[in-house]
Amino acid sequence: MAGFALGVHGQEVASDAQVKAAFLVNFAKFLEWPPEAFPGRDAPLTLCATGRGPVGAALSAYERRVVQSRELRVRRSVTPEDLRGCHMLYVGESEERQMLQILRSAAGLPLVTVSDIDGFADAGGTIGLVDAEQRVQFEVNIASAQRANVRVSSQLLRLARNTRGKLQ
Amino acid sequence: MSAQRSLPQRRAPVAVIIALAAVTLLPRAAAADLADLGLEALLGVEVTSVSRKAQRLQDAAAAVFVVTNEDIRRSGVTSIPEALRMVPGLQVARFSNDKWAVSARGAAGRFANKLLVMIDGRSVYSPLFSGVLWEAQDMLLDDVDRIEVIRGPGAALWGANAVNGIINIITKKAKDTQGGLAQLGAGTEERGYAALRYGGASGEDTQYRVYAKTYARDGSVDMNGASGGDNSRSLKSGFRLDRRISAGDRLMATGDVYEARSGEQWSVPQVTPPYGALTPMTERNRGVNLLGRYERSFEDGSAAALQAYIDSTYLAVAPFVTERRDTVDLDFQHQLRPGSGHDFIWGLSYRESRDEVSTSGFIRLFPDSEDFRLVSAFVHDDISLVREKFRLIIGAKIEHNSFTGTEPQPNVRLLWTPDASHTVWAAASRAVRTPSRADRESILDESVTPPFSAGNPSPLPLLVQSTFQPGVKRLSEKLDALELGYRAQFDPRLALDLAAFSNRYPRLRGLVTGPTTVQLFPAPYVLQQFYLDNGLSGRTTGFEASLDWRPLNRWRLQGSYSLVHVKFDASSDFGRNTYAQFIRDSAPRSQYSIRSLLDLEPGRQFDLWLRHVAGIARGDIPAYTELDARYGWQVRKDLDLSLVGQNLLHSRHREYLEDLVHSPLLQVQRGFYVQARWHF
Repeated sequence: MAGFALGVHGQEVASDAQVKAAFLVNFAKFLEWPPEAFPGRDAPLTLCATGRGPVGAALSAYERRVVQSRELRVRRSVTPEDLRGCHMLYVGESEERQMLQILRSAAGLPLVTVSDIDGFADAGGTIGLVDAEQRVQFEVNIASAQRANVRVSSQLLRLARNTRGKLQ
Repeated sequence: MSAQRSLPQRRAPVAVIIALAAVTLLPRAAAADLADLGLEALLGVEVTSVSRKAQRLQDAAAAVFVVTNEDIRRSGVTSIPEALRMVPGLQVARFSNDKWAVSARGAAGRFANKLLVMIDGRSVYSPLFSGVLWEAQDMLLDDVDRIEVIRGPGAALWGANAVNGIINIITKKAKDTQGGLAQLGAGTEERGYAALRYGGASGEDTQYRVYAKTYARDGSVDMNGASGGDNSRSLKSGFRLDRRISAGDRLMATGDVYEARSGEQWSVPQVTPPYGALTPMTERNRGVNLLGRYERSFEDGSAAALQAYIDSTYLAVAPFVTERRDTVDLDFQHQLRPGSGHDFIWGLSYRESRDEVSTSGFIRLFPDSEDFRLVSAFVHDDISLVREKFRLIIGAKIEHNSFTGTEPQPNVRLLWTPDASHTVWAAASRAVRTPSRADRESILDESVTPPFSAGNPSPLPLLVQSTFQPGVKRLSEKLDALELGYRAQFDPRLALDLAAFSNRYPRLRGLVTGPTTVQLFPAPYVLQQFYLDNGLSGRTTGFEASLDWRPLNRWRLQGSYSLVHVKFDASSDFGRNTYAQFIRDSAPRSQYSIRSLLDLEPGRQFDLWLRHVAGIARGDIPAYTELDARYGWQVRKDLDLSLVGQNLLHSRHREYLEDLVHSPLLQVQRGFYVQARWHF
């Protein structure tokens, strides 16, 4: 069996955390950070995760993978005081009550926030992961991305089930 | 007791064997390949419910089991207690078609007084008999998001009576029940039920739903195959509203109004012939409740929640018992993270419950009206000792109630997560059960033995009565518990959960032999009294296992096994020993359940559920094995049908003998029903 099992109906099955981590890596392919977000041309792209859940661990599997000609770095269990250097931040479901604090700390940084907390994109997060019928979907808050000075490709928006804000 | 001892030794727990086999056979998933799929394909990847469930649990330093909406739907159950049969460590017995004895970890009984049950944060635990009247807790099962069951003491967070376990029924948010739903079912035992629900929204931030449900259930049969006289009916309606006021402020409101009626037969003890005539009775339940919760999260990372509810219930089994009760409950919680590694929660709550009780005949409660007040405060700190490896959780709840005064209930828990997929936890806790009204000032005529009979050679009838001793104060029951658990997610397809416990109960409510006297009115009889006291002590030990395995994408297996051993300390008193034996002989020593959920092809499901419960000495209940089956067919996107067969292996079987009043032993019958569900 190659990697994960192929289902009878041709569908793949994986754990929630694995799927969400794969989403994060895929999002990175469709986002464009401002040049000043990186110290150098070969500087790595840093994926950060807060909270206790297993998504952070699943994300670690992508350490050193190359996306947009940059190596991925994964930092787990980051705190709201410690977001500098992160390009994408996964906010674990366990952090629901800290959501506003995290979003406030993220404001002004070239940082894309992603979370499966209910209503995350509505609350000002960039990308909300939504559980629907045993699958994961996502919604995008374009205004939040614009505030972070990150460009979102139209391909990503096309696949989102919901978008907030308008493309300029 | 001897009947239990003579049962053959059970084989090694099935679940564990499957687990060991599965670990060695399954391939490991290489997660990294998923990212190569691309975004579009990722959207189509099915997430295994096994791991989703496990994730919520991975964090808990307690024996937690979650029954999901899918579990409920695919098991074909029509009531909450029926769904609880799949939970390891819970003993669920149906002793009449609408009445259930649900208990945890060996403390059996219809009024299994050491189990706290909440629906969306509202306690449905009755302070009259300290238990749950399941017949009054019907729900639209489609609305239930999940049932979280915590075995073991949860007193530090949940407060008194969360001694052997907590059942937390959580309904879906209104945004997840938008649109219309109509549900119709009909069958042999489930005579008929109908439900209608509509969910709507006002703007982007407010959603609501309203529903109504009714059912009529056929009666069961007694040991001779005659009707048990326990037909039942219920009508319930309610709503839920969810509103997001701002990014950090949420409001939830929910309420229900219901009426339920069920038949039963009581053998009412009397000192004149025929000494105990079987009388048909009707139990009526009515109620209305309303709950509101406001949650706010602050930008400094703290959060607060304020909840209030009112609950008004009416219970009548004319002419013996009526109870009117009005409860007001306020609860405040504040969570903060004062320093790195601490997750601190404190809270305050206040409850006032006022009742009017009228009893007559063989059951008498004093006084007729009572006002019960409960004030409690708790603190709870979740400390990360070694980041992502070790967590220490310390907490305590202090309660002050108007019966027994101040009751501190501390606990300490340690959680070790060597890696993302394994968790080991241990806990030591103390919990308390406040005496119910029936535990305090009550007189119950237990039985009358006719003269010149086997149990009573004297020329006068013998009345056995349990009664309070005026002037002797009832104490709270205490539990000192030690627990150990292990959880593993070997693979997205395989999760295992093990828990072991040793519970010490130093002062249980029991009975002690009182005086024997001769009474003259209304006719001469011998009165043998037993006094309620707190002199019983004992220990329960046990083990629970559950396994969730998805051998194929379309096939899921779920198994559970529980074992419990109850031992009371030796006593020289006849009354105490008899009561101890009554309790001990009311719980099955072991049980297992295996469920198979199979997708035959897209839109067709075939599900099986095999259950085994060991014999119970009291009532001479033999061990039984039963099977439920369900065939589900998604006819159209908006319409599904299911055909369900319940208790298929025997035309009838008995599970439990009612323990509060003398009722005939009733048998659960094989049943079939069909259901249609239409979303519009």
